[in-house]
Amino acid sequence: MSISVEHLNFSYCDRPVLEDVSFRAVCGEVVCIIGPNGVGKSTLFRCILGIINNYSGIAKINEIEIKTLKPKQLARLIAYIPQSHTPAFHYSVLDMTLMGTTAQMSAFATPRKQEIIVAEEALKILDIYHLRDRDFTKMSGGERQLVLIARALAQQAKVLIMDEPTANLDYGNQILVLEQVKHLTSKGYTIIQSTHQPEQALYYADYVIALKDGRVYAAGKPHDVMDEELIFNLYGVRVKIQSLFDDKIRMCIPEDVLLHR
Amino acid sequence: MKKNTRKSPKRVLIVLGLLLLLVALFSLTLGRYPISLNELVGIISSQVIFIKPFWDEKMEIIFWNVRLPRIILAILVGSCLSVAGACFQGIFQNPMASPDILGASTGAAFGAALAILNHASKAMISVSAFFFSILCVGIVYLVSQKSMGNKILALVLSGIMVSSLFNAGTSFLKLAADPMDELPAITYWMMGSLSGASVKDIRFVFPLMCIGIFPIILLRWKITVITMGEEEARAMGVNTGLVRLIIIISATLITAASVSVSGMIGWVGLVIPHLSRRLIGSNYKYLIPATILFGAIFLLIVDNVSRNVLTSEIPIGILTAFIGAPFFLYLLSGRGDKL
Repeated sequence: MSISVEHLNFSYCDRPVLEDVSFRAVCGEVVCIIGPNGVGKSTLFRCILGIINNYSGIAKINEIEIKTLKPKQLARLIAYIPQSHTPAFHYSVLDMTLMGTTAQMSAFATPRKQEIIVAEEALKILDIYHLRDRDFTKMSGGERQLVLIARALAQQAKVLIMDEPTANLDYGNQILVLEQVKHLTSKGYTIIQSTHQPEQALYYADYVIALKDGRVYAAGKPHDVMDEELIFNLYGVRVKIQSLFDDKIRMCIPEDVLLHR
Repeated sequence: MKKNTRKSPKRVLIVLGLLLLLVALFSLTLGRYPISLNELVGIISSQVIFIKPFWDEKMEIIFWNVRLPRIILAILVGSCLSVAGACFQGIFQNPMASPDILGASTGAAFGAALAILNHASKAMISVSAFFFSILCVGIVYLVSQKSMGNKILALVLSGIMVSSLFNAGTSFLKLAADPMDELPAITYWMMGSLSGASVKDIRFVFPLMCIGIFPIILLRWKITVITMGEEEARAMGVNTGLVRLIIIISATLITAASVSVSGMIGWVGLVIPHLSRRLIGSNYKYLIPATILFGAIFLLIVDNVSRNVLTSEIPIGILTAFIGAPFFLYLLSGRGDKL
């Protein structure tokens, strides 16, 4: 499983959003995309997910061009995990998860025993099988995020795209979700996620792509590319990056915070 | 909730099916000309086996030409309006959507008014209402496709705009109508009624309704996925544009067919899907069959009230509003989260 994007350009109403974006993600990696709000992270995801098609350049999965794939074929290869949200109607956790199996079913089918087994397996992998019959809309944000991940697992695609998976989650749930995501890479999943927290990239990413003004500003291993200058150039915040536990972990502390203490 | 306390959706559907059968039988006996259950069984089975009539001939004529068509039409219209409501609520991810969201009813009203003004026959009024209903939704769809932004929002907004245009047209026709006979006919048509139900009506709408409801049943799981929104549904492998178009065409077809023979019967398409959701959940795999059955039961019961309570008929559209609006207020107050 690999995803590669080569020289991707996209403009929305003559306003360039993405310019000459190239990167590659391979099996078992967590790729973090960082960058300020409105830099085109979500747009990039829409291109990879085949929702936007009028871009120039090439986006490929397993060496097949994404534009040439039908929604169903693409859904068997890439799954999308949105931010935890509240749908318009009440669904049980099982129903939510079952939606992931749609790409595996024939056009006019409804989920049957076989699909229910797949969905239940996905819930078990994330340790949320006990929530099976709960109302999705009445759960905590963290639980909902895990259900959305289970739905993506039920889709049986090996590439997972996550749009800020920890937005609106409390600290405990953030760590829970990110740990589960990291755990999935050992099962052969490739994960591409966007994040607002530089720390998350430092903690969890195998590869970091920093976007600025629609371009790839820096890319590489987090310890190589994520320095104080990069953070300042992306977010306009001066930080100190601290190495801890023999450089196993690095932390990012805003200088203003240090001044106040 | 434990597994064994969950209502099995299949069991709910079976109960609804049996209930519909019972209500339909009961409705057949009711009327200004009461038919006992004995006579009812006799009249029906005399079609297959020879039974010496123990009922009077007039009763048999009423049964076949008036009572039965009306019951069948109530079932068809109730089912179709409810299913169309459920479909529009699903594809627009909007619990407040109803079958006339894209102007199907306002188009039909204009068509009916135009036909009445031209002294058309009853059949022609239906055909004209059906045609303008489809035309109105067609215009709405084409206008929305010109929009650059959010397609769903564009559909709903152009639905409102084109509807109000047709509304203005209807008002103008009313102004031009003869206040002695044409104007009352238009007004009465717009109140909604099943009173004129005939075998002809059923022959006209039944094939249209079948054509419309069939794709909805086939694609009902896809509607469930589309309620998650455009991007998520696409990422789960649903061709959202195509499915949405098919559902809009199908739901419009059954709405137009219903409205063309029954006039404007409001609230059914809004309230029944919500009641069905409470019974069986939001999964369209079960919700669609449930709304078909529930809608039929509901309209049968309301139509029984409409034709039996007062000596003169109460237009059914008035009754559904009397029942629907307070019920919706009840849903909103306190238990609004259940909507």
